[in-house]
This record gives sequence, structure tokens and C-alpha cells, in this order.
Amino acid sequence: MAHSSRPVPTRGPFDPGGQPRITAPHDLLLGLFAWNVAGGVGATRAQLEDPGARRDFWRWPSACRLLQEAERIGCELQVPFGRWTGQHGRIGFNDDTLDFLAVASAPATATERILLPSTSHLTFGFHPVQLARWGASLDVLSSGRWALNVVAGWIRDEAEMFGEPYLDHGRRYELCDEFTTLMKLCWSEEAPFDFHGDFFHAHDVLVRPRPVRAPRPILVNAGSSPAGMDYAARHCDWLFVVGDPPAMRATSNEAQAAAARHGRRLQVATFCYSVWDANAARARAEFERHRANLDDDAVNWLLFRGLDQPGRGGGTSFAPSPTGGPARSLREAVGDKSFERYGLGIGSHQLIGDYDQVAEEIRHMHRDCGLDGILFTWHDQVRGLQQLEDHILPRLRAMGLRR
Amino acid sequence: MSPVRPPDTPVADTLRALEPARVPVQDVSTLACGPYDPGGQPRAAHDGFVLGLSAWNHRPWAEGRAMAVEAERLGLGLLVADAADGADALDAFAASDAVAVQTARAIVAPAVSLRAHLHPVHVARFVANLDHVAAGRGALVFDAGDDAARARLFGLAPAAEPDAELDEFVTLVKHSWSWATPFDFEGRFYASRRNWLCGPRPTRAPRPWLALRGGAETLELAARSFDWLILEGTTDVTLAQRARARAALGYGRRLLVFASLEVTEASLEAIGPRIAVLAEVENFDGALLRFADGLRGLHEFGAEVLPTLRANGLRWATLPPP
Repeated sequence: MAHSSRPVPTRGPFDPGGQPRITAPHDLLLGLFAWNVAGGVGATRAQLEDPGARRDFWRWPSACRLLQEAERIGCELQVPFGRWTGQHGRIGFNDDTLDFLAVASAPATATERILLPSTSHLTFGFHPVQLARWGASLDVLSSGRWALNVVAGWIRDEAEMFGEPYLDHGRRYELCDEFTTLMKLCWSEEAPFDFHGDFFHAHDVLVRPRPVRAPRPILVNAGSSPAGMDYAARHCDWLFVVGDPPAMRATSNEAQAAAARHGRRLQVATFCYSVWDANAARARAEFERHRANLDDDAVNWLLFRGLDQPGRGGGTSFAPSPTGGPARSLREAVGDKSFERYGLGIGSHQLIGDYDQVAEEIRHMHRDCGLDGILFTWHDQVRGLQQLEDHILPRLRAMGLRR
Repeated sequence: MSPVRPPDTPVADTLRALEPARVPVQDVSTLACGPYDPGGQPRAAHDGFVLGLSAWNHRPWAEGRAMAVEAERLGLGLLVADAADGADALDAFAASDAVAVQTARAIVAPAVSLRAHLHPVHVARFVANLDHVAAGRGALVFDAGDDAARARLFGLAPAAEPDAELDEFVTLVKHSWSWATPFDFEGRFYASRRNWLCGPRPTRAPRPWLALRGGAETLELAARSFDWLILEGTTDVTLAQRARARAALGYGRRLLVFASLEVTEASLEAIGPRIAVLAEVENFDGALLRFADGLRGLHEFGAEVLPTLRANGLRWATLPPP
């Protein structure tokens, strides 16, 4: 095939053929989050009461049954967590994880409709041509249901496992920009091409087979820093926002405006640490049990790694020590509330309440805060899906939010 | 996802002082090449001659999937997904995961080579996950030699010492599967600092099978660091004997040797007798078959060749059902 000599871009925004969309009969898309990682996003010793169900549900084939059940009750979305090292602690928090290939390829033939994204760290020694090929293969295996949740790669301990220097925050997103541009070229160019960027080179590239979804697979990002948001605005189709509803609304508006400045659109989703019950007091009591059993050792690692990012910028969340001297622990440094919130949901909104309250909060996040997608993560994933089917979806249908 | 804002500079020192206590890191850099078999080698998977299928992922997905399932039904014990780079083919790792959950007895083995722009830690993780979803049927095939075309594709320099680099690569894969505590590795070609890779660990103990595919020049490396040698371009029986002897006498290791055969419409008649000779006269441990005509070729092989082999007493082995 004739080699293309046409100049190619090395930076976004770049959307040959436009942006892809998820089609559904309603505007509010629902699903589950972090089903592929030991302990999910709840670093609590409460999961040890039944580790098989509450910590180790990520194992195959129970994880597959979870996705099949989510699909059966009508979930359109799920997003797996990306980890290369665990957070340890007393519960082995996140120490086991289905990797980003297996989470999409293994369930591809066992499911039919639910989205099958991979969460992948672009700065961890991968090449865009290779990830474009993986993605195209996964999209073929899943009949067009693959998506890529882009993680820049912020955990220093993970980055150093690959023998590469740990890039500072801004440089990581510069790499992601070039990476994504080349990946999009791989999915769109019809003739072999060359690429010469600051981070990557490639010669005679032609990716076959092509992805099934047109014009390309969906790209997702959860960047919350200015650089991360800018990357999402220029390259992605969905942005994950983390925080409480007022912050979600502000972030959603900001991100969509940034995307619009590039002539693009950005849909917005979040995930919620969820404890639901028919009775609000019982839901609160169950959440308190998670809180009282927090695995501080695991949260210490999680938090330390999140904070240890030179060059990321942004405001500090360190509180003054109650003693007036230097903080003696990370819990003391950030305050109990932040520490516990990080341990139970890594900073996400905690959706705790009875079924009416939960449905109303979902309505609020969708209608008032502009969220297009909401994912849930439960202490007991199977029970959570049952509650969603039996109690929440009927209420959302009655509100006109779901068909 | 990093929802907590990082510290400004004044609190960076405070943060450093609050770093959680680390588990001591072991430096394993002196163990940078084979022979290295922590926990020993995995036992021979099959009790008898092995027939395998390769390159099924180089067919369209519906056909490739049907080939893998049909091959297992016919009793073939090994499904090798060939590297896809440069070809119109499904990625070997992704396709192997997908087929692993559709099969129950055959070993599932993606193929990879140097200059695929993969770090040993990537490969260790992918194969451990494959082995998890395959319930202990995961394996890995390395294609030997330098690959100039792939190096050029990824903008890399060709490997100057491919055998030494591949030996180090596979040794670091073994480290990543075996250490329960973090380790540092600083080799000539690869580095990995504070390696404490996420589970799952491989299901197969002590580790998944490792195969080297190549010609006569790969004998020494296969003997030192791999469990199987898949001979390409030759079925010279003396090579197989020398490879096994080198592994046993040189390194106290066990090496199985497989032949590679291309099955075409023209060669179909001769392939049965050739397999019988490989198994019964030349003492090969197995034959990896590539079907030029895809599923149709496999069906013809199943209908016309296997019954004769069976009638003549050849038994080909599969793993016991789970």
C-alpha cells in the first residue's frame, strides 16, 4: 500500500471523523465502578466478614457473573479500576486486580451490550501504536463495546516499576496528548504513515483490523487538575468528576465549556460510594460500620501516593495539626473527614440513604448537576445490583429518567 | 484517579516525613539471566505427544474463535496466538484471554517478541491474568531473534544482543511472578524499581510454561531459560536431542521440543505420516500446526488425518479436564 506523505498532527484537539457517542433510550446512563479490584474503593476491614464476596469479587468467573447481572438489569456502563501495585494494609487493599486487557477481553463473549472499557496508564512504558492495536482488537472481540479510560499514571511507585523516570504532572499530560493523537491516527489513517513527536516515533504504521465503533472507540478521562481537564477537553468524550454534587456541577460546567472552545462536546459522569437500605438509619449505621473499621494502613498508602506528585499544583488539603506542631500522621495532616472520605470512595460522593433518598440524589445529580452517567460501587456488589434493580430503577423510571 | 489535591511546596517536607513505613526492598540484580527457576519448572503439562494450533488469531475473529474451540474438541492441547504486529490479526494477548474463557482443557499461549515495546513487567502481568481467567492454562511463547521491522514500527533500535536481552527479559518476568515482597532489578537491558506487582499471581505453580520459538540458533537459550523449544524452519531430530541434552546436562533442567508444521491442502495427505514419525520415531514432544486454509483446513485435518493417526495407535494428549 502506498505510504502517506501527508503531514500528521502531534497534538489535540484531533477528531478525524468526529466524536463517538453511546446510544441509549434515555439520557441518564448507569453502571458499576471498580469491580475488578480487591476491596473496590472501600478500605474497610468490614469486608473481612465475608472476603470471598466483599473483597475478592473481582476473581474470575464471579466478576463475569457480576457484569452479566449488571447488563441484565439494564446497566449501560461499567468502569474498571487501574492499578499496578496494591495499597496493602490489613486487608490487602487493591493488592489484586484484573488487568486492563483481561477486563475487556475475557467478558467480551460473555456479555452483549454493556460497555467494556480498559483503564490504562499511558506513561507506563506503552506505545500508542500498540495500545491502538490492543484497542482495535478488543473492540472487534466485543463487537464495538471497548472504550479507553485514560490514566496519566500518577503513582510514583507504579511508574518506577517500568524503569522509566517518573515524569512530573505537566509532562505526563503532554505525553498523553501526543499519545492520544497518534492513537487516533492509527484508528483513522487509511495508508501507512510515519510519526515523529517529542515522546514517540513510528514508521509505516497501519493498524488492522480497525475498531468496530465509528469513528473510533470512546475515550474517558478523570483528570481533575487544570492539565487533566485540558487534556479531557481536547481529546476525550467523557470526563469523570469526583466530589459532592455542587463541585460536580461546577466541574461539569467548566469541562464542557473548555471542550466547546475546541468545538468538541464532553459528557460527564461520576461514581458514588454507595450504601443503601430500605431504612435510612440502617443505611447510615452500615456506613458507620465501614467507617469505624477503616484500614488506616491501606488509606495511608493510598493517600500518600495521591499527595506525592511534584508539579501537580492546586491547593493544599493539609489541615493544621491540633497540637500546633507538625502532623504526626496523614490522618492528622488532612483531618479525619478527608482521611475517611478518601478511604471510603477515594474522595467520591458518598451516596448513603434509603431508596427514596438515593433516587432523589441521582435525579439531582443528573438534572441539576448535568451528569450524563452515574456509577456505583458497593461493599457488596451483588446486593447492590439487586437493590438497583428492585428499588432504584423503578423509582427512576417513575421520575421519567429511565425507560 | 487522584481526587485529593496535592500539597503546595511548604507541606511537601511534612508529607515526606509522613511516608508510611516501607517493606524492605530486595536487590535481585545479580539474578539477571538464566538458568533461574524459583520453585522449579512447571511439570510437563501433557502425558504424551501434544498437538497444537497456532496463528488462529490471524483469521477473522469468528473463524479464529471457532478454530480454537474446534481444536480443543479434536483433542489439540495447545492454542498459540501468534504476535499480530504488522499483520491484519487480533492481538495475541487480548485474543488469548477471550479464548481462554471459551475453552477448558487446552493451554492458551500468546506469542511475543523483543521490540514489541513491552516491558517484562507488562508481560508478567498479562500472562498472570491470562492464567487466572484460564484457571491455570496460561503460557507464553517468545519468538526468538531480533525483529527489525517491529523495531522500526515503534521507532526503536534493533536489539544488539537479542539472545542476552531475551534471557534477561524472561528472567525479570520470572522475578515478577515469584517474589512476595518488593524487589529492585537493574539489568543490562531492563530495570524495575520497587517491583511489587499487583496480583493475581499465576494460578499454575510454580509458574506458567515458557516457550521459545526459533531455529537452531535458539538451542542454548531454550535449554537455559525455557520449558519448551518450538523449532521453526527445521525438524532436525538431532537438534531436538541436543537441546534436551543441553538442558539436562548443562543446567539440570527439563526441555520439551516441539516441531512446527504448515498444513495446506497439498500437504494434508503427508501430514499424518509426518506427525507419526515425529511422535514415534524422532521422539519430538509435540507438533504445532498452522493451517493455511484456516477453519476449513482444521476441519479437513480432523476428518481425514486424526482418525488414521488414532487407528494407528497414536494418542495425543490434553490437560485433564478441570
